[in-house]
Amino acid sequence: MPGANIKLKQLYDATVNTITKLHLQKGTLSMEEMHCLLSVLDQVIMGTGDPGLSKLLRQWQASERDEEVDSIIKATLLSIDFADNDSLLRNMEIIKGLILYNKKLKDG
Amino acid sequence: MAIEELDLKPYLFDLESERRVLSSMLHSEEACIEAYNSLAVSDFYSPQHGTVFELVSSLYEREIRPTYVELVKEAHNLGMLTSPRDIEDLKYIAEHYIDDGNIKFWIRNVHDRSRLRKFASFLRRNMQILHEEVDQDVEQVLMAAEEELTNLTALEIDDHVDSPDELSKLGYEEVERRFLRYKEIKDKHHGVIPLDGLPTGFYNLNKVTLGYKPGDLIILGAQTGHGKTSFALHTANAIAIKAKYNILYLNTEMSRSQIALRWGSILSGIEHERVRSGEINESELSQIFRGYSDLGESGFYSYPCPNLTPEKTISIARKFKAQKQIDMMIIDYIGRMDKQDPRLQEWQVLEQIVKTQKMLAQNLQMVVMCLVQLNPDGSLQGAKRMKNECDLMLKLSPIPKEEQEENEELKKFDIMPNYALFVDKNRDGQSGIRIPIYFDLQKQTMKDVKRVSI
Repeated sequence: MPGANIKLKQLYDATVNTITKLHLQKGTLSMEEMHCLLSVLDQVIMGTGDPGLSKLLRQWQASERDEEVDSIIKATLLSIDFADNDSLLRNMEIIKGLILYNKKLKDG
Repeated sequence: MAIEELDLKPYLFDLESERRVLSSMLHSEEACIEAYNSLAVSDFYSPQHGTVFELVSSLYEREIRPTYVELVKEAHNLGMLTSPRDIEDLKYIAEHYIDDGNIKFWIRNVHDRSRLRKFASFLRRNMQILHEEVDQDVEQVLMAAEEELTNLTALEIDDHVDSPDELSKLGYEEVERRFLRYKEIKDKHHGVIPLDGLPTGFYNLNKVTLGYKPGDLIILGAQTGHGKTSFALHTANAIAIKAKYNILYLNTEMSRSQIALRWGSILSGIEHERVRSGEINESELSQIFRGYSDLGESGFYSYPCPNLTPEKTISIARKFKAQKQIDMMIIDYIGRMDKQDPRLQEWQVLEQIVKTQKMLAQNLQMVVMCLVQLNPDGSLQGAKRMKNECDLMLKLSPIPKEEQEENEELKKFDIMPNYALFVDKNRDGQSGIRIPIYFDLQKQTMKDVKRVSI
């Protein structure tokens, strides 16, 4: 967060706390889900070289949804090792393919 | 008010500063590096803060950028983040935002309180020793306390890394300063060198070194009976008596009266043997009196100390630096210092002493000159190691009679030089130079020789 202002720091910290509490307090997130969301947050705010994951996630959220494809995308997201760039890129390609497949399916 | 009644606790920790340092470490990589390099877990008063610092440091050491997210993941993986209360505690720390540029200020706060706590524990421990141990070796108790306190007060050498910009600015300023000084020599001083440090007492040595500078460690080697003390007192004369700087002179061999008598001869120019035996006339006596008046008004502080140890030099130097603002300390000589550890070899002891003196010179920003004894063949025990540590290494030796007779170069001086100073190492300038001088053995004085023909 080079040269970040306090507002951005507050936003980042509050998001970390919310994600963590959803696991620890409410139990609505599993440990894997918590770790994944925290890593995505770091990618978006702290990361200097986001290879396009946030854009891909927005694309997914904006598309016409399918329950089965959604659960496969979620499982793919959870299997990403965020410390390994190859793992990130490989799984992003899979997600991209799934979004495309879903679009074709919906377009008939 | 009794000491026990004083509530010192508020002065011994600063939880807010601790939180601000940790918060900054989580939000800025630069702040994290700065704090990692400056602090230790033990510097944190709160065990919880110490643990957070340890976790962040461990991430950094594993080359994982220690963000708040990574901290949460790490703590969770280690089973340290198990309840909403834990995340509230972390949140509270993280919320202590600072402008990351101010990190050094908060680090200094944490560090200072940590040093105060160590000082308080030092006082408590020594108080307990006084209460409990009846038959104690007072000297040993005081020396141990002195050593501990010295470590506690040791100034830290700034390990600041220069950026390319800072280095180029510094380089230009240095060259500009030298350029202006050179102009000054030409215009105002008609060739007399303005020095960067203390005068050496020799024109050619001034030229080569530009004076002894604060932080310098100077080693002068000479064989037994070949002018170590005379060189030291010649230096003291130039610096403390003529230039009026303050000097502390430690002598491990001579008594107070022996040192005082030496000055009588040096400052009056009357043979030392005659001064010592009292074989002088009344006019010479008043000449000596005038010399001692100069000494009385000078900055020369003498400390004859036959059982000198490296630890003692540290405490004496600190004391005199604080009380008399000394600019230089001369140790005459280090081969005569007491061994603290009898298992150490002679060269190991010398190396230890020299290292200590270099640190002392840098920490107290003063010049330290150590006199050492050369072997009969002119070599120096542990020379390589000493050379590494010092900034200037000089060797004083007589010019053999045959050379004086045969070397035509030596005949071009106003007085036939009988001694030479060899500049073996000079961190700031030319080395490998031999400077001929004249050493009057009867008067125990040294002087420059001037070239009168080409």
